[in-house]
Amino acid sequence: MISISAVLYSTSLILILLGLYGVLTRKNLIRVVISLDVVDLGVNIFLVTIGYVRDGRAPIYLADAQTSLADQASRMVDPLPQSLVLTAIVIGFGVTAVALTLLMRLYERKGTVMVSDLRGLKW
Amino acid sequence: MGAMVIVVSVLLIGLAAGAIFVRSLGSAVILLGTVSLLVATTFLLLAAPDVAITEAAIGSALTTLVYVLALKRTNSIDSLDDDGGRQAGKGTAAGQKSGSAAGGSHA
Amino acid sequence: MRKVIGVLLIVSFAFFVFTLVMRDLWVEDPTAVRTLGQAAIEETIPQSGAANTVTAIVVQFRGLDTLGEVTVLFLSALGVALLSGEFAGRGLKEVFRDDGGFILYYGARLVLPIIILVGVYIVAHGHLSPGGGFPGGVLVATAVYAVLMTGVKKELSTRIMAVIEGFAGLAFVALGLLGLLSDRFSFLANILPKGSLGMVFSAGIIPLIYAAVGTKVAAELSTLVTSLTGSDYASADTTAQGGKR
Repeated sequence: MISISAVLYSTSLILILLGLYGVLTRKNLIRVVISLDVVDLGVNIFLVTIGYVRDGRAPIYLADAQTSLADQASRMVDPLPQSLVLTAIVIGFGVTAVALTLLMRLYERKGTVMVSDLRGLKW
Repeated sequence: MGAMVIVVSVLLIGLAAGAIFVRSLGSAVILLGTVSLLVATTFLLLAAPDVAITEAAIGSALTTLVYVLALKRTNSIDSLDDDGGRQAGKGTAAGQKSGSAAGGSHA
Repeated sequence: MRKVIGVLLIVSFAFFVFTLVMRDLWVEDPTAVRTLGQAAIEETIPQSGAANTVTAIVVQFRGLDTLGEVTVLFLSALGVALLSGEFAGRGLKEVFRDDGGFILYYGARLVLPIIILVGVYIVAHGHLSPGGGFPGGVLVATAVYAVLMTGVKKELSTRIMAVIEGFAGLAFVALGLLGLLSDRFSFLANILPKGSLGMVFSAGIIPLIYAAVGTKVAAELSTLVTSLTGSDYASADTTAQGGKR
């Protein structure tokens, strides 16, 4: 019927573009970090959608199920993009935490988090 | 199943646009936490439970906490940011007046 | 003007992606897994004995990448702790204006053991069901946040957490070096017996590695938020003696 892959590829692309627009045009630096987070989410959805198989099941074997192991293996979703995204989510959180700490220090020094108030940044 | 994916996708795009364009920063952070939970639901619809648990735990619990701490320490937790060049006030009537004045002159 | 340039950039980027990349992806759902993923699915039980394919890939087939990921998380926690040195002494009193109150205090103490139990369960069953070291460690760290945010404790000592984190990282590398001593001579080789599918004590060193990773992540994230809120026990001590600027 409806191709789930196509819907989710478009959604992830729209999320990436929205986040990119936010990074380019917002003046409040915290909102720039929020937009960066949205880009991160879009990229993760894109990566996991690469491995989707029609009517696929989760890539976990069940030892005491009625179906045989080979039968379970033939219906699984691709596990390789999922392991990459597992790493990417954790590292994305690390980036967000360090960026926000930098913003907190910036506020202590300059008293503002708006790009237009900081000298040297002409945007 | 396809209908669920379409509904979740539309909600995702709408709420993410809300998180980027809404005026109040506190609301933006809460919307980001909601978007993260919807992304975890999308991962479940894609048959990826490992990724869904990790995204729900990290994206909606940890990230929202660190954002709230950052908002508190930069005094932005109840400020309205209309992107007019000055960080608009603290949500009081005086703040809204200065915010709209700055927005009007920088439009 | 800025918004116009932004929209133009976005539109051109979208055009580029649609014509070059999406042209091949705008198809029906694929019906078969690609070759490398199919090899990973088929080789999971013979080579690692784990029931969770993603765990086998993350810990055994691509184990060195997990070591790198743990390092990156450690570096980010280190960066946050270094950058928030100035928040010392202006701790929770500045961030939260009042205590949690009766319900938060006793509710947190009631729920705390359940959170820790679920976190440890997710770490221990990483090779049998979805989860693993990373979300389990995050859950245990959430228990520490519940302690801080609801006023159960005002300060936490990060020295113990730093020691735990160091030993957990050391355990990860030591388990990898044990693989060098075996007859297979490769870092992070799976040397313990594989057991039978579905038991907790199976899949070689995978549960041990995930236990080390879960402990390290939990200690790291607790240190991160403790240094962000300025409720580090040691720093509050020195500030009471006149500050350390």
